[in-house]
Amino acid sequence: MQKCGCAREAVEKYGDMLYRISLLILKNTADAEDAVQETFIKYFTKAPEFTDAEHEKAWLITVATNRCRDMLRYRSRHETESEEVLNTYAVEKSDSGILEALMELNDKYRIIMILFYVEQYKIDEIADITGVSVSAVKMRLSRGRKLLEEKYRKEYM
Amino acid sequence: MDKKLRNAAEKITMPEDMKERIIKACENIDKTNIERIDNDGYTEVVSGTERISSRNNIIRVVSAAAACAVLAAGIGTTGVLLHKNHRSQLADSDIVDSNEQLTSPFGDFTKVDFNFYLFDENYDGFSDETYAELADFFNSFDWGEEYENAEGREFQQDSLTRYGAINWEDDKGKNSITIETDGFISYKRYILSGETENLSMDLAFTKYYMIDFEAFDKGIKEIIGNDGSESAAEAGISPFGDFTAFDFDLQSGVWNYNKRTSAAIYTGLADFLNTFDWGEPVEDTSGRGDEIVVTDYAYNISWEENRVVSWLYIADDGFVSYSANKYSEDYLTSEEVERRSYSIDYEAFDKGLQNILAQDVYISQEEADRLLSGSFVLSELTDSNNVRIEPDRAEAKEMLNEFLRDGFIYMLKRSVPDNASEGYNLKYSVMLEFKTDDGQRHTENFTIYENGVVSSSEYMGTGNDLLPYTADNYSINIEEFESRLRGILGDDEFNTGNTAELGERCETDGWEYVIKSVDVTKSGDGMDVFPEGHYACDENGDLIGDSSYIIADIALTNNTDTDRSLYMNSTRVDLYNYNGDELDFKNSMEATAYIFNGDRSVYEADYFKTDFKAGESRTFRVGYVIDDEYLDKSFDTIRIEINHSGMAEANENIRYYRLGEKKSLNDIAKQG
Repeated sequence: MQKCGCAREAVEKYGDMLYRISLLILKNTADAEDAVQETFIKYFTKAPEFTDAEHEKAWLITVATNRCRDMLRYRSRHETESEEVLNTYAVEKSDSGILEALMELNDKYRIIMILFYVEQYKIDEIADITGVSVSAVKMRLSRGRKLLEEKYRKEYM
Repeated sequence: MDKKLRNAAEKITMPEDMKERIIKACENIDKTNIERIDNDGYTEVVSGTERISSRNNIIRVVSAAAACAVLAAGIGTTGVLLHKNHRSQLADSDIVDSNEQLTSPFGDFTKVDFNFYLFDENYDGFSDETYAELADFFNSFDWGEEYENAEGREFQQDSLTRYGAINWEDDKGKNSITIETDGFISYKRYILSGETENLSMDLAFTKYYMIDFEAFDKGIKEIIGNDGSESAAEAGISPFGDFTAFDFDLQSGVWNYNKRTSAAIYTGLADFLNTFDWGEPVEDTSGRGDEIVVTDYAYNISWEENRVVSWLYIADDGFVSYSANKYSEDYLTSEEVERRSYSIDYEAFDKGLQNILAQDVYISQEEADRLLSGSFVLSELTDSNNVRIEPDRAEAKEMLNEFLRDGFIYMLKRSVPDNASEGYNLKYSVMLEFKTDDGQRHTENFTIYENGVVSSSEYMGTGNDLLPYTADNYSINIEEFESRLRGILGDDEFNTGNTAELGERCETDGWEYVIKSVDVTKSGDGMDVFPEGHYACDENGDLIGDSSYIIADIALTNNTDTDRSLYMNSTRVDLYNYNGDELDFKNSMEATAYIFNGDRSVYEADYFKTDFKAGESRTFRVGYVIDDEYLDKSFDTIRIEINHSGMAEANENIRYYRLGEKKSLNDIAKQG
């Protein structure tokens, strides 16, 4: 399968998705932009032939997720308050609470939750993308969900 | 919540100006840079690889566990290992080029981007320098000749003897070496075949080797022992593995913390156990680790993964015993796979854990749901003599049911008590009965001790055949529990904000009262004016006959910034039963307060009028006379009413002080 021929086509097709994932992980718009830009540059310079559209999407998400994890470890920018980050988007007040609660989770749980609930990946696919074992994905999903529920009920309802 | 989360997240879109910046950055990539970068050979592996650099910047991290799964399964929609575009010594189907000097049977590891994964360490994040050393080690290691006696043996992911794996790619396919602890080596070569749009990874061949495992392991340990990359501890993982990935149980005395604990606390425990300084393993010279005595530990943590059950015992002198046993599929037999000992700072460990556990105040909603599962049938409350506490009034009965079902459960706390129930008397018992969907009886029985410890036991069954199901321990604020019960069984009026207890400040109309103490006495000591009429007293003011004084020690403050006067007879004492009915024990004259102050001038004024400057405080002893027959009757409350309006009817400015001895709840419930 041929990848997108031009930058505009690729960014229009995958930009929102990668930005959403990066922003929810990094909680900072400038860092999220960096992560997405590096992902696309890598896409145009190093990406292989993809077997299908799902393969291409998974490759991009893997690259972006890995980059975000690198950046979390070596973060230089200050983290922005999640409420402030979400204010710039058309997220309704009634929905922003759940996102704020998600962004307050530890990144180990947050990344798994984003891939499962937001990007709708299956557990074994998430294990492939993140490099974590299937049992660990299940565990973090289970705990992440409980943490999110508790936090959302206590602080945002 | 799932849909809500997804719907909310989908509203996040990349701003247009950001898109334009990224598009421009991509369009500006220099084509010559692309070729150079391609020659360096970067590769992204979908199965969790971070950036893999060229042979000049050796691989950082690849998740071999996922990689192995991918290799075993072939190409999935997300599982393709992407090969880089540079020349490899491992070309075509011939691994060995006889015309080249190869340093290992598998090729020159310094010329390939490989990853190395140790299974039991669950770790693969080695530094570039370590990878360089590993490449040299693999090249120079004596892998021996091909092993002919494999007898169909294949590597199993959960094998007891699994040790590690080496994986790499080349132009034509992928390679995987698995190493087992008996020295058995399995080398699999996969070839990429098919058309571009229908690629598949086919197993080309498998070769086996048998190595000196001890020499291999020793070499590996020497290399990774010097690994400058982030250690497991620095990566936030314990020497026993990643507790955030385990479904572990933590037991401390009678307390058991497991997945039923609130998620926030459980996560906190996992993070603490991951980041705690366990130190290096120590030699168990005392032999305590061999057969640790059941009672010899302060904490016990256990978890299971892939039929390997791990145990961590922590004694209060800091000795730690870790062991792992692998069980057979039917869990009937097991063999020990690991045992280590540590010596930790127990005080730091205990304090750290307790700080987290202390935050776990109330039980989680999930646990409450479990305790209350089924349709509610009935509740019972008994006292320390096993006598049922049951109000006669239907309304109070309903309120009690509701409290025991909906209020009491949510008062239960998970905190570790200072003492267990031993040495403390039983105070109350609560039983809740439910009917499950399949018609079974589900009862929860709570024994509440004086110190607030609550022991619970769950029973399930049909008819009278109830079998014990689970048991647990909680704690409760016993004063709060009793206060809530009194509010249900007693007069609600006493639970309003208008009623104060002895010693509490009570303010009304700018006057602050504090009634510090109350005495019931026949002595008229200090009295200025003796009662007349109905109540007889002698020359000292001591009451004779069947009546007594109730004397209150009152501190009174003018809480305004103006001088004011107060008629001191604007307080009176009343008796009420548990229904809130006032006992008619007096006529209005005798209810008037008497001042025990030594200041006769008060008595010479109208209605004991007393002047207070702004902010002035005075202390008085105020007395009331009551017939003994009323003091002997069962009653709930004596109270002092502060009513400056002089009106007989209650109004919002009236305040009350609750005095007198409260009867037992059972006695109160039986009255009326």
